[in-house]
Amino acid sequence: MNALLEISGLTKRFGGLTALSDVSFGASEGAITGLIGPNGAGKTTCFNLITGTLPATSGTIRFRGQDIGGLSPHKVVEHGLARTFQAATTFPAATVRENILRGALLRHPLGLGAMVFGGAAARDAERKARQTVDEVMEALDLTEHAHREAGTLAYGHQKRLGVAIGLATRPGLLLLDEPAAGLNPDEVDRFATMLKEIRTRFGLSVLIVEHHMRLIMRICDHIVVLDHGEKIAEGAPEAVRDDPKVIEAYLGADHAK
Amino acid sequence: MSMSATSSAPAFQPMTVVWIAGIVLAALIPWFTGSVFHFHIAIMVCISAMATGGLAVIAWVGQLSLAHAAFAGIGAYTSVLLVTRLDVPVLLGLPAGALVAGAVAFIIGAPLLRLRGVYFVLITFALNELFRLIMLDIPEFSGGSSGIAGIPKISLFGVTLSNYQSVYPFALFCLALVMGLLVLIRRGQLGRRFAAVEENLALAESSGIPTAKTQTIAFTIGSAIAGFSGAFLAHYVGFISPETFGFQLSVSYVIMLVTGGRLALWGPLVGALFLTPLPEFLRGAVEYQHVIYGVVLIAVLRFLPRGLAGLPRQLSRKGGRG
Repeated sequence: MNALLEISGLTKRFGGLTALSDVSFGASEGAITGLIGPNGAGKTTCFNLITGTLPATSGTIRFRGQDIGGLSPHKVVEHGLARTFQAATTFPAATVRENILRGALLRHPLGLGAMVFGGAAARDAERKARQTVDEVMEALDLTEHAHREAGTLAYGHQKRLGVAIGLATRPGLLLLDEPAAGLNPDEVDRFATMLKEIRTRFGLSVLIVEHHMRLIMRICDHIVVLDHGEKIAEGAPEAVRDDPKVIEAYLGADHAK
Repeated sequence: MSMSATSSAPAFQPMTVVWIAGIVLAALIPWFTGSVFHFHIAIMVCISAMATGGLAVIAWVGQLSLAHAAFAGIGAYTSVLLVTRLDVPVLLGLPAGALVAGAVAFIIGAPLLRLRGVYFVLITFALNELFRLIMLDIPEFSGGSSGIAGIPKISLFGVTLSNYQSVYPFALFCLALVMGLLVLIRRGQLGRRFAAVEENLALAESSGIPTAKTQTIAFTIGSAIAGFSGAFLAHYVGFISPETFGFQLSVSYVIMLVTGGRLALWGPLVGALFLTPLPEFLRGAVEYQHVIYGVVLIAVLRFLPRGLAGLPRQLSRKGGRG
């Protein structure tokens, strides 16, 4: 397997609670990998461990062959792993363009002097970053909102802006945490189309946590299923859908209600 | 692409021009009236505005420091001790005060800034008290509770600024330098990072901004500016004691900042300009300074959430709707 991201034996304990127990899986180059499971299965914890938001109790996380475990989140992004958040997460007081620019500037680092006093290097960095911004805005259909304050956008647009900020950091792997939550069916369809487009256009690989089964089945090449912090199944969408353990994890919980 | 060159905010908006004109006029008042009292107040406004400007830099990354007076005190004592004991020229003592205050902030910043919101406010409050108590405890350096009197006046290249009229232009010059630095930070990439950290820390971090380092930079710059203002205050007033830099001074700076506008570029200047003279002009009300500040703060929080500097914008928005 040509894995871009390799996770092995990943475990996270909060005191006595084991949120994630010995989970191993991979995300391949160019693929859309789905991470699914009932509420409380440990999906978001898994995201937080991969992105360095939380330290893992044990296990390794390798990205492009390099161990990225224990790095702080801003270092993980530098390695080419960007994430979006479950809620609509933006810089609310800044314009859409400015929001995306703040992500894009990652690829154009400056010294402290240039950051305060400006100069040719700072202007050059900003000019190059703005090219990325224009490209990302166009790909995510946000150009018409470029000058609006992010906090005033509709919920669906804010979620898309969250993806745009991540995309502007030019990641190799984009981690999406429930990108379709709270979107109406039309918006979900549009999002699926858009995601496939940006994957091709930006040479992306995607790891996606999502509850929306129709979306997951439609866009994913590979699916990993978590339940109670453990991996219970993994494989192609059709195989996972027909797996008895997966059906039990989802429907069993429903029956118990 | 053709959009991007013109899309950023214009370098000077009409409102900015109005602000600058108003501030320049206010700065000229002492020369119009010729009153020594007005010169004194104008100098105090400059010193408060510098200190509040430093506090603003820290506020731009979303933190509120109640140890600001302590950093002013560190700057003041550094400069005074260098000048009185080691015969260093005052002109070097002032930046040395800034440097030492900044260095202290840099060292304690990293662990301190892990705390956020009200916890950071509380720890900095405790730090300010700690500074006061330590200084009271080392009278051989601080002069103890009786303080240090007869501090040398500021002198520039052998010319001593002995009267109010001669200190004022230098105070204005220093304030202009501080505000210039604030403008540079705000308009540059560092200001963009500050804003990102202030608006959404988690998103800033995951967009590749080293948020802990960014906050430490802001805390260091802001506290260094406080140190500079403290040193200026010491050489201007001629007397300092640990009590000069007590908790109440920190609170005054916070109130000036919030009144002027916490996140507005001109907020610190407007706040200091409004609040420094207020108790002085209400004759006999100087002892009620904190009561007056408290009332103003409540009024601002209730009616002007963006501070005085946000007033024109608030009015124009209301006008636009009506």
